[in-house]
Amino acid sequence: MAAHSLKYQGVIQSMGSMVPEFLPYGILIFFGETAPEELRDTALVHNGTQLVSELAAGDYLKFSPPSATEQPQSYRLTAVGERANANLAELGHVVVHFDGATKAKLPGAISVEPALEALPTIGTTFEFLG
Amino acid sequence: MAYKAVRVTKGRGGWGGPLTIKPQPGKDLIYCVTGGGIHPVAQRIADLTGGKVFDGFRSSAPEKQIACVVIDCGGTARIGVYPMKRLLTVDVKPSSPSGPLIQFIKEDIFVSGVRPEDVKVIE
Repeated sequence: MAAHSLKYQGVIQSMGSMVPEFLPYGILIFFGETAPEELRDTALVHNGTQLVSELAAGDYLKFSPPSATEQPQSYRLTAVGERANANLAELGHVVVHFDGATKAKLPGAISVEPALEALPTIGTTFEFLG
Repeated sequence: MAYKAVRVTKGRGGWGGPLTIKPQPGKDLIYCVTGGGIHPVAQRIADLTGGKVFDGFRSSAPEKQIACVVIDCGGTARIGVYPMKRLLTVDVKPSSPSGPLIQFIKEDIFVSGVRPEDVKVIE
């Protein structure tokens, strides 16, 4: 793999009670810590704050778990919605569709492939690399 | 404080509504979760009704004080969560119901594509 630059990173702090409801749709919702409680309920809440450079198709989403007993996971971005970068920069918010689509389903969404292997746990670091 | 009611109709390409929004004492927050500060549509609803505009990403408010919610949903979460709680939801983007919470997004609780001119006082 060629050298990658870090575009965004955060550590998952908590998991909302509604996260499992979105899993059958292959969707994970991320929100930063400024999100109000009702939105935290839908999401993996993380402490990321800075978008270093904009996400684009071809970038990677990597999950690094806190312990050696879980495996790291890596996904390739296939599409980036037109509002995804602005939402991520401002609110730490992005909706990830694990569907490999080449056109984002909604403006605030990104698509990645392959399908989600395992739900990331609290303490996992996620990174967008490009 | 005398509150006024407004009718909020869908904008071009929008869906749902129309909604009648009238704050009540103790339930007068125009709760804005658009990001980017207070959205002009939220400000207009507050200005016309006498409600208090509030940025949900800056501080927290009890749900029972909320008269309506203003979102700019580009995804899946905000468009479903507030209709699910049966809070009147105004989306400034022309979104149609989508996502796992689609069953909750009904015309009597949700309207989208709303611009400031789609908010009018009911005389």
